[in-house]
Amino acid sequence: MPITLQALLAPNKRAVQFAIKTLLGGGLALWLALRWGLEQPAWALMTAFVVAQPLSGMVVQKGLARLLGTLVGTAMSVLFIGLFAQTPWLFLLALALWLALCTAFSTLLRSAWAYAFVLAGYTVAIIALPAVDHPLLVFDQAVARCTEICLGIVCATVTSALLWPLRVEQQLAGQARQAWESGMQAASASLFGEEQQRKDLLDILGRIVAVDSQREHAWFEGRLGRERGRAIRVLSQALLVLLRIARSVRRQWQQLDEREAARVAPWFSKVHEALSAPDQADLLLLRQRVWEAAHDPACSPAEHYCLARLTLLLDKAVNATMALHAVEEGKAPADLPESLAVHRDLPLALLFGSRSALAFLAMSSFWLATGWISAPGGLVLTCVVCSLFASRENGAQIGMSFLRGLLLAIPVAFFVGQILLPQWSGFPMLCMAMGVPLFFGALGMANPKIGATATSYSLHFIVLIAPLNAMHFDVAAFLNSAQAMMVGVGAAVLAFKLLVLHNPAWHGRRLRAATQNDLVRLTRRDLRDAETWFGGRMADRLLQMARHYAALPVHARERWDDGLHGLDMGDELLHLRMCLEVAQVPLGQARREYLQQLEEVLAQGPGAGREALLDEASATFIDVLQRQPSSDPLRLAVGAVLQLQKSWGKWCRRQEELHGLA
Amino acid sequence: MGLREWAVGGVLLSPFLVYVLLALLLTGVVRLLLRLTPLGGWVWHEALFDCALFVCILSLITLVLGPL
Repeated sequence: MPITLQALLAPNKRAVQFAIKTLLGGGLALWLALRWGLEQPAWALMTAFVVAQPLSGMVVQKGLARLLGTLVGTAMSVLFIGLFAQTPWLFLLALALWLALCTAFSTLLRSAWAYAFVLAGYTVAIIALPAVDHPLLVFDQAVARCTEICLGIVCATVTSALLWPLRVEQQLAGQARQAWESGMQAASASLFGEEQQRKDLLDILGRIVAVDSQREHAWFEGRLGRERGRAIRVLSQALLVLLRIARSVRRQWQQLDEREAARVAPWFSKVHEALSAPDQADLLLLRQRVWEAAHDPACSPAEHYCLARLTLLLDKAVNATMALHAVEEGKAPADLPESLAVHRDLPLALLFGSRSALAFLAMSSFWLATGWISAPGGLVLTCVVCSLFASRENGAQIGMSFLRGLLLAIPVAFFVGQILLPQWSGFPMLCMAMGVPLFFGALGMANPKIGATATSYSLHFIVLIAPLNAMHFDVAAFLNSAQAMMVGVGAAVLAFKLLVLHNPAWHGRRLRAATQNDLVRLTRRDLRDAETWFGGRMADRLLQMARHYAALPVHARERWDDGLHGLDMGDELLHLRMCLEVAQVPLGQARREYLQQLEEVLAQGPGAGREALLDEASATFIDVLQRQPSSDPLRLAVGAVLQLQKSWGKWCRRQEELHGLA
Repeated sequence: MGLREWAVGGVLLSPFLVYVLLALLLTGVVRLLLRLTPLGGWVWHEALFDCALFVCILSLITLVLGPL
């Protein structure tokens, strides 16, 4: 059965519950808005549908973001009308600029709170554009919009909290366990093979980022939710570190000769076994045994490095397991790491912003040129689509499903609004006329595959009917606004199609430059939160690169390797700096000089013929390290310096190969 | 057809709407022809090309059918 039919005719229990919740919340909001005689009851109903989410923490978070955005947006709209009511072009330019700024900030923020910025942007359009003809009414409109949005949010929150409440934090434990399991698997897989690694790594990175983003919602679900959210922060960091250490063990392994490899191999298979069915006591026991094996005097230095890293891997696995237990019990540890940092790209965000502004200006030129009374309705939709989906790679696709939802809504709204409603009167009849189509819309909203279309269908259906206390029916106005909406959404989709800002090659270059920049900063950044900072940003970037990976031709796929090489370099660098920190020997000048040279080399970036750039500095520094009284951290530091040199050489040679190919 | 409004059930429809639909149809046909022939390989930015083609065809239709 096609997905749409299945979602509408044979929905699962969850979807039906969601639809009933949403509909009741919307109905309550509409009734109150009509009862209190608010200006545009449709806004309250729409808000109840917009913030409706399956989980109650999400509803509160989205509602708050919407409220904040609306407050800022209404204030700005009053300001804009106050300043530019007499000068339409200046007004439109200011509006475009504001829209661009808001879109840019929402792209930069990269969290669920970005929605507040989107709202701040298009609320101005919603309030100020219809008020252009009567500027004195703008304050009333602003107050009405705020009141109704509050009303919608409150009603949606109440129904989602009272009826079949589903909480984020309850699902969080299950998701955390899944992430932990696949993290352990990925770690043990990367001990052995390179094959399949990319897919595994992506899978686990995706899971970590997804679980981590739930923290924001769980925060609104009482003490337990907040504690779980904090514990998730620890877990996602522990898993990222685990993955990086596993890769570094693999790198050390590649340095071993055959005899050494044969001696170390049994430990590897034991660790592999332990990671596939992790148990904290077993892990600790195994760790002790590997640690003792690493200190066997018969060990060569290379073996020692390798086994010491393996011990570290087991340590991190124990940490991750403890973090998982903390999530499941809902008790966060006292010392929290910083939250995962994300990759931010200001120029890209500004480009997204200017695209929104450009689409808005094009549409408003059309409005001013034709003087079409309904055009502002379309203009508002251009703003909404452009700023909501600006940062999505598949903006055009989502825009198209938005358009599809609109096309579905028009005939239904015509039938209900122009044929049924003129014959019926009273609130119960209104509920029946609007409730049936909206119930199916809400069923669709519960299914992620057709969610975008269904949401757009429900919202446009509400806008086109626009229930009021004193309804007036006008076919011409209906057709006009339906057309304007289509033109508006069409303009936004066209903007997405024409200004493609997701050129994979360009994007890849930017991500690599950012990685390189991070590596440079890593040479001097404070060590305390460096792990989360670097790990989080790299995870985010690798995920972004992976999204473009499929779109690239085969020879251009080196960007992904670039990302991985960068990750490895950063990992070794962090390891080196930590070893030096632990060793606590006065290296002063030598350490500074080495790091400075490293910084210069990294700033130049990898390239053909540059692989030897680190050799001299490394040799000098290793010499200095070996002259110090021997200690374990120092031996590991020597290993890390060698690894850094090797990783750099590998990165450069990779560039050379690609260069040769091109 | 001329640039006069159409009355459909008391609702006045702009003739431009008809032209737009006609142009959309024609653009689709031309696009299909281009895709079937090797000429399609010369297109650099598909969306931009389609958009420009649509505008050209729409203005042609308006020029030809407008004064009628």
